[in-house]
Amino acid sequence: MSKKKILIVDDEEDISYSLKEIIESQGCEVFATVKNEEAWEIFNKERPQVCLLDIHMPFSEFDGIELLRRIRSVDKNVICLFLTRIEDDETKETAKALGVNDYFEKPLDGDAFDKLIEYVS
Amino acid sequence: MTYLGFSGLINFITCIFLGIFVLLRNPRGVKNRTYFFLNSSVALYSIGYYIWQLCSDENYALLWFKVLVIGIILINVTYLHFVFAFIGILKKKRIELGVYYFINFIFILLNIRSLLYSSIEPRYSLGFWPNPTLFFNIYLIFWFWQCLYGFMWLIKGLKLFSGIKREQIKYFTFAAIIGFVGGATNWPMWYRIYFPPYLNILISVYIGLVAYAIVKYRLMDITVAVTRAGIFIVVYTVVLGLPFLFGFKTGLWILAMVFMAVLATMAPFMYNHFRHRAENILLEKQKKYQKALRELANEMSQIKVLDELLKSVVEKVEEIVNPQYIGIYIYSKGENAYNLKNIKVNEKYPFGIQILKDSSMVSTLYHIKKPIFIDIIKDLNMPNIQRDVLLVPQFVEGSLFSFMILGPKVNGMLYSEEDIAVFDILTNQVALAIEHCLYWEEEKVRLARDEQIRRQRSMDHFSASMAHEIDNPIFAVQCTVRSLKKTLFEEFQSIIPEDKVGYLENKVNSISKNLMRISKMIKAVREFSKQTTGEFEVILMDQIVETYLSIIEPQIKFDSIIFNKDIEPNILIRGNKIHLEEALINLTTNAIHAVKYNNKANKKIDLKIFRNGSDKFLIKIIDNGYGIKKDLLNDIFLDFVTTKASTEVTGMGLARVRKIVENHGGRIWVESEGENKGATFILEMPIMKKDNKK
Repeated sequence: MSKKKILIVDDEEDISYSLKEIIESQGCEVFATVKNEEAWEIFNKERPQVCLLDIHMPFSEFDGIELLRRIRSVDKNVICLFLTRIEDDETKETAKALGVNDYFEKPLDGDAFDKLIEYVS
Repeated sequence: MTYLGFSGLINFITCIFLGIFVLLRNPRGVKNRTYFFLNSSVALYSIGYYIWQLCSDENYALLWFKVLVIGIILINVTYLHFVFAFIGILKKKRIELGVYYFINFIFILLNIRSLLYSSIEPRYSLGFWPNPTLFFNIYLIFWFWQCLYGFMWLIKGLKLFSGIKREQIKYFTFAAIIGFVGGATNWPMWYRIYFPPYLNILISVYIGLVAYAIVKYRLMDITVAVTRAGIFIVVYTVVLGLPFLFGFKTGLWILAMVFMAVLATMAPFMYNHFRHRAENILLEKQKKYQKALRELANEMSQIKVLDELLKSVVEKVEEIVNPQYIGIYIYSKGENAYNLKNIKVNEKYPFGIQILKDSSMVSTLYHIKKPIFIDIIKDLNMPNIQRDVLLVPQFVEGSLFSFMILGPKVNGMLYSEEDIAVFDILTNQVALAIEHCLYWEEEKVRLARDEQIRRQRSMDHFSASMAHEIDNPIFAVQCTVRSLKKTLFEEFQSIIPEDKVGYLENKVNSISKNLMRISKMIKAVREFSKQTTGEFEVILMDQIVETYLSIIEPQIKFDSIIFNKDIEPNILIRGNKIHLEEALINLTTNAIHAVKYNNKANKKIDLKIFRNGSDKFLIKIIDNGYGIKKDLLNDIFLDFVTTKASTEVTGMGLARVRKIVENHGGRIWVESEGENKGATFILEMPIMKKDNKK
């Protein structure tokens, strides 16, 4: 069985690449990036099974919600997770409506981290 | 015409004129009426005197002499009548006065029946004079008694009254003595003693004095007695009287007519001249007052601070009347008393710094609602107080907000009706200005509260975004630590010296643990910063309590805690339902925590909600848990202060509760006897009045 493909987008390099290391150690093939445009390209090229997205992407052309919308427009089944700061209720509702599979608020405590790892392993 | 006859005529004219004038100013006033009777009696006497002096026929002279004597008899009894009315004891003296009237009536009968004197005869070329009988001797004694009795009461009146009334009595007494002396100069002639009664004209002096007192001291309560009409009458009396006197003295009537014609031509100019002068003199004081009042009204409308307002009132009052001292007392609701606020005093200031609301002074002011002199207050218990002390009340919306105490004037002058009228106006203006100030002070508090809420909001916004910004780096460190841990203990495990593995593991775990603590704090700050100023609505406490109980009661039951509720229904509050519920839940959760971890057999929490006065209600949450140390009681509502084990909580809960309570215009405090002695959290919240419900 080929390695599980995971896409990680976070505008903070430390988060993006640390997560990549952690998840790679679970035996996954991880594509990490700090830009949504690049993430969208990677998604179309690699078709990962799990996408870890961030909503606030100040240095990208579009935000995480838009990226989710694009992914959902081509793939309804891929697992999409938001790993983001605490958002207002409205944003959470939008994300839910667009079919996000789970929603993690930074920073993660131990349990949440374990739950996140479960998704990718 | 003889001089004596002339004095009678002048007396008649002045008396009848003043009598009618006083009566017309207030026909229903008992003082005015009795004074009119008195003057009519004097007038009757004077007209009788005048005609009697003119008579050359003995029979006619006797007839008019009888008229004159009727006048004398009536003068005394009407004089007593007036004195009683003047001093205000008429009701008490009704029967006594009736007896006097009766006795005098008998003397009138005796007079008509010619029993007071046997006959009249020409004497010393001064007209016809009588031969007194025994009855007359008795009457004369009675006459003197009545004079003295009247004066006795007038002197009592002087002791009884103060201020302007005292001045009035003083002047009337003086005038009456002059009048009676004038009249009494006739008695020697009755007994064949040569003593021409030239002083009979003093009766007109009496009238003049009374007229002066009317102008100066508002005798008979007549205000502004001197008018243009008055000046007109005086001017024309002189214009017509002087030529008449000239004609009478010299007999040169033609010359007198020419003289009169000349004066009559000049009269309009004289009238105008005197009118101007009189008005200037009379109105000067009034103008000064009006100016001062206008200035004060202007100033007062600009002032928004109560203390400054009072200061400026005191300054102005000082400028207007210059009393020895001025004290302003302002009501303090808490003490139910009036406290001395702003004063100009000297060492003689006789009043205390506080005057109780139920004191006789305050109740008298409440009753009269106008400026009063201190001596009308009963039970004052200040034996040495001067009489001429004025109390000036200020009423705001029907209740006595404050009052001024004005000492006697420095220049020794008495307070006049004008002064009192000015203070009456001033009082109303001051009351309005005080209301104005109170409004501004309320407004200031409101603005400060708004400003505080605004600052709070921006503070909340700031801490929320801070928290947001900190979240990301913390998470980055978390991830980094995780991957570091992996690398260290999975990849490099073989090259780490055996004895350092535990040490490194400890250190890395410590980083993780402390990261979690930071992240918890951040979360608490974010919770705290959540809006506490959301939409307010008018809501029944019952609704809030219902939701709150549905959340809290299962937990209380689960922990086997006895929960007593005593909740007064139908209390309206204006507030945010969710926040209020949150506050109650937070406090109760604390209470549960406090009793749960306190090893007592009876774990108990009481909830009491009840009205406290008409505009506030209290919420008490009482537990018998682990209590609060005394030195923590004041700090417990500050951020990050807690009585619980510190790793478990952040200490932001009570700070948020306080914030919610304060946002609702309430306050919160805690009472505790100390550790393990339980704690009572008390919330004092404003009740929403039904009529303000919009």
